[in-house]
Amino acid sequence: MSRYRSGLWPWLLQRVSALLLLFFIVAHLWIEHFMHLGAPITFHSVAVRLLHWTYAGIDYGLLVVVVYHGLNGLRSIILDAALTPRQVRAVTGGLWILGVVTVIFGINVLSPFLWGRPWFIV
Amino acid sequence: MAVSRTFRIFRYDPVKDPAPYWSLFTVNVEQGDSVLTGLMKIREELDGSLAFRASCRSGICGSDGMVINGRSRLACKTQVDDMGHGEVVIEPLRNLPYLKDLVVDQTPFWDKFESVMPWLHESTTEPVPETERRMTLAEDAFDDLSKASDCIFCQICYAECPVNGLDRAFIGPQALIKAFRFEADPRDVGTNERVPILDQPDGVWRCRTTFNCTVSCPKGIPITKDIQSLKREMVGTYFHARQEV
Amino acid sequence: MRTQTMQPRPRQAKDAISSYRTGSWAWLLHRITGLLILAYLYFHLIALSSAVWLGGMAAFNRTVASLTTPPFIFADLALFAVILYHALNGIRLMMFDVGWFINRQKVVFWIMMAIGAIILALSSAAMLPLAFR
Repeated sequence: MSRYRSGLWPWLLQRVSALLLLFFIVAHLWIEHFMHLGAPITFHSVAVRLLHWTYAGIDYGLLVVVVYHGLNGLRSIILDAALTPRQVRAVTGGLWILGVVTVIFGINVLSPFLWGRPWFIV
Repeated sequence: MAVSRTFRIFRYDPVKDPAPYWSLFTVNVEQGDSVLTGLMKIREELDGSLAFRASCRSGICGSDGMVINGRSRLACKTQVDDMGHGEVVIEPLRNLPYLKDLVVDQTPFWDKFESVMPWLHESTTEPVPETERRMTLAEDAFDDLSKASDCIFCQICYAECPVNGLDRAFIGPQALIKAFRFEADPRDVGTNERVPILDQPDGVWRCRTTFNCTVSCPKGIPITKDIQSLKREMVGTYFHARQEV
Repeated sequence: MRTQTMQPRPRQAKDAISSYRTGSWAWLLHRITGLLILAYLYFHLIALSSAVWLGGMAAFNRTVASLTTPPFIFADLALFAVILYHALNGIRLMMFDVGWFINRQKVVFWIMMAIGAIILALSSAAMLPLAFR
């Protein structure tokens, strides 16, 4: 167990998040583009749709998974530049912070539809 | 019937050349002659200073890997006739520092090969009298690892891997299939020692399955397939080890 | 009989291009499409949030209405093609992780591309009439 430096986790979670993404992205694209093809999307129609937890869940789930998958992929591209262990740690930490900020930001993109204002504007 | 062909060869002598340059040689080759035959003719008849590695001339020693018309191949297994009608362009292998003409510095390759401890780690818990010892291998296990043991160390997979081109620290396809060859061997108990090497940032997870190694291997070893088996085995061992702790 | 010319060594980029084959082009395109999708994700979040946070309901409705004009429908389809490539090649790569069809990687690539072309054609048939009504 301790003999692993767990370089395995980014690899494995990239596959797991990819499988989840396949579900979420198909659902997202279907809902936004094809479910009511031709009907105009308005603030009101989105707010009504998000009242159902399935739709809100799909959007929030997609947000978390896509941010992980995207930034983990970016990390593996950056790591191909032959970094030192210290630089690898800095890149990993920086991307985690960026990811958390992005998820908080993304959650607040939808909050005006749900309760009228973003969390941080009280 | 002999045909006159032009060879364009990468030249560099660190002692006297400030920079690499191309040499053009024209030699007569017979039908069915290999590129290596052409190189030997050039060295014997035209320029004795041309440096390249070669030994057995029959695709077994793995010495004469080089870039011929843009692709890494064994010069002895490549016929001049198959290289079109234009110039035959010959360069040293990629991803390795070039020393002189077509000779590259193989040190990084051998260091990485050695780092995976490519030998059989014997079990010490069940001592068997030496006269009784039979290290036989089951037939189905042999099928799994026999292709990986065909490797002739020609370094073509290492030179063709685009990940090695980006990150010179990547352990490379050859070291990984050698690790697989012993990990897949039921007699071997070296997993504990090999895992920290393979699990590094520059280890097995850096392989991006581009299949360049598999396509270019002159011995037809399914390199990517073996590396993927190694990855699956690593995931299996990881969760197995967690259960035991 | 012997001629000698001085020329610089070919660059590494040229070396890379001559050594790339189906599998490595697929890998390179996978990276490029991945980066494009990541860039789009940030564009998507910022465009939506600036509309709803700053302009509220009316601004959101205006933004969405402008997104159904022909140029944006074409851009949408182009984005869809990029996502489709990344998804289908991703499925291909995960098949190899499990070990399926790993000896047929080239064939699998082109089958995936054919599936992608069919999906793209069908969704274009559904989306494009919206651009010209």
